[in-house]
Amino acid sequence: MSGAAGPGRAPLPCAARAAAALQLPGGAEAARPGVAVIDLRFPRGGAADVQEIVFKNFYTAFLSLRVQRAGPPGPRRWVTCLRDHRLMPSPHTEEGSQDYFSLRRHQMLCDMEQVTALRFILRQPSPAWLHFSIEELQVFPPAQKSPQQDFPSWLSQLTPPEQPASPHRELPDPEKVSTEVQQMWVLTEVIRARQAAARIGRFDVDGCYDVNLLSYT
Amino acid sequence: MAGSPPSPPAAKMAAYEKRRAAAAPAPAAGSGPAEPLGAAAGGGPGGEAEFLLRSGVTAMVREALLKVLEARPEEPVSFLADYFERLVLGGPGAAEAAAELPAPPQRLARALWYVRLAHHSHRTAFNNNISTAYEVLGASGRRRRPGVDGRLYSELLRRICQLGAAPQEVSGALLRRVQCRDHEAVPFDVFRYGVLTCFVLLEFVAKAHALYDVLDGGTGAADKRVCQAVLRTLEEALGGGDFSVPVRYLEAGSKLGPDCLALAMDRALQERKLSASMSREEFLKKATALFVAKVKPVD
Repeated sequence: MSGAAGPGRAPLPCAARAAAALQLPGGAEAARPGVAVIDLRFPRGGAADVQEIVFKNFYTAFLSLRVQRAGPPGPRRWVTCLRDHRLMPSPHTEEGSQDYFSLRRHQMLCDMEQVTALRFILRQPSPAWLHFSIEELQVFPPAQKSPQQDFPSWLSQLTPPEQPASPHRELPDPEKVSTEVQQMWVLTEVIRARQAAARIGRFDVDGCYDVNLLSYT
Repeated sequence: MAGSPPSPPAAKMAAYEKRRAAAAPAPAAGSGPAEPLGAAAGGGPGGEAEFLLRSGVTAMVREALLKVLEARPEEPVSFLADYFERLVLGGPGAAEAAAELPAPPQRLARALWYVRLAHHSHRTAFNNNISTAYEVLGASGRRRRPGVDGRLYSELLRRICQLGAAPQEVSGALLRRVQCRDHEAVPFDVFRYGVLTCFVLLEFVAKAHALYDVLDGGTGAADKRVCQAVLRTLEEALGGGDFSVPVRYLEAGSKLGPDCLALAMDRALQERKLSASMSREEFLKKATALFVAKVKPVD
């Protein structure tokens, strides 16, 4: 699971605040509520489409995720897009405690377009672990270029963009021309495809030998 | 075969008789399939099927039929006549009898005949024939030094080019690219490629002729702008070397479609230039230059 980020992908630039433990009003510091929050924002208040979130767990048992999305002006709503996702099968034992996780768009409960902020809510009910968090948090956008945009125009356009408005009468028959030209093209490709691999092994250039190639033996 | 004169003179018939007599004891020693066949013919040891087997006629005729199927000649009779004539001239019997190999001109003629047997699109047959031709050319007599030298190879290519309607200038350009120097030993792969290129060039020239016929519309002089537009389109389709093979093929298919070509020709005609014509020779030269440029030179 580690390194789920593909080699060609770059994570979105974003700023994550350190995990803040939930404080009960007037509560003693020793009391550990077992809940922590990590807020993540994009630079300059920007918004981004989120495709995938990758992180390394550090003793968090359950993860909830809420997002704010760009919308009409006014107070933004937090929308829950992941609820109590289990990271450690048993909170008291080590399993899954330091694994890498990847959350993808299809696992989310809501759309992940034009997200302005993400809030990770971490829960660890077990008193066995003093600290818990998630690390190496990375947010990935959808693949930059959809394959369709990469197509050359000749492939997507079955008919040429502009038909000759008034074909000249003296124009040769395009069908016949096309047939012949295509066959000429095929013949040339045959020559290209069936090239000889062997070489004669000539050392001279334009009939002249390099003097260094001559040997006195 | 009805038209072929009963040319084998008495000497040859005698040779056949001798061979038959010599071959007779060998299969009798214990060749399995010969006996049941002979028995089936009901003729005992002198049965017809057995005779055909023993004299090698069965194998010979089968071979001839295979060659006919490979080559699919337009005139099978003359093809077969030619085939059997070659067989007599170059067969093992003749070689044994003469105990010396034919002189280079004959070897060249035989090699030329072999490479013409099958069309290059029948890849296996064509390659087989080329390798036979290579052996024929390479069997250099008593010196026991097999191999084809550049002189024979280049001469063979020149003769192939003379077969078609390719102008001297055109075939010369190709030959300069693929032929070898007289003293060079020609590896089979280079030989194969050279022969193939010459045949494909001939076909290319034929296609270019046909294309010119379409372009001139029966007037004998095609519009220069249209010719240039068509050739430019072909050049562009051939030039797309950046892509992998399937993409390049798709691209060429799109560019050389009737629509795109019509568009290119139409644009060319709309150019406000003096209307001139392009001669057939010039068109051929320009078209084949595109082809020759793609031929890998010998190095």
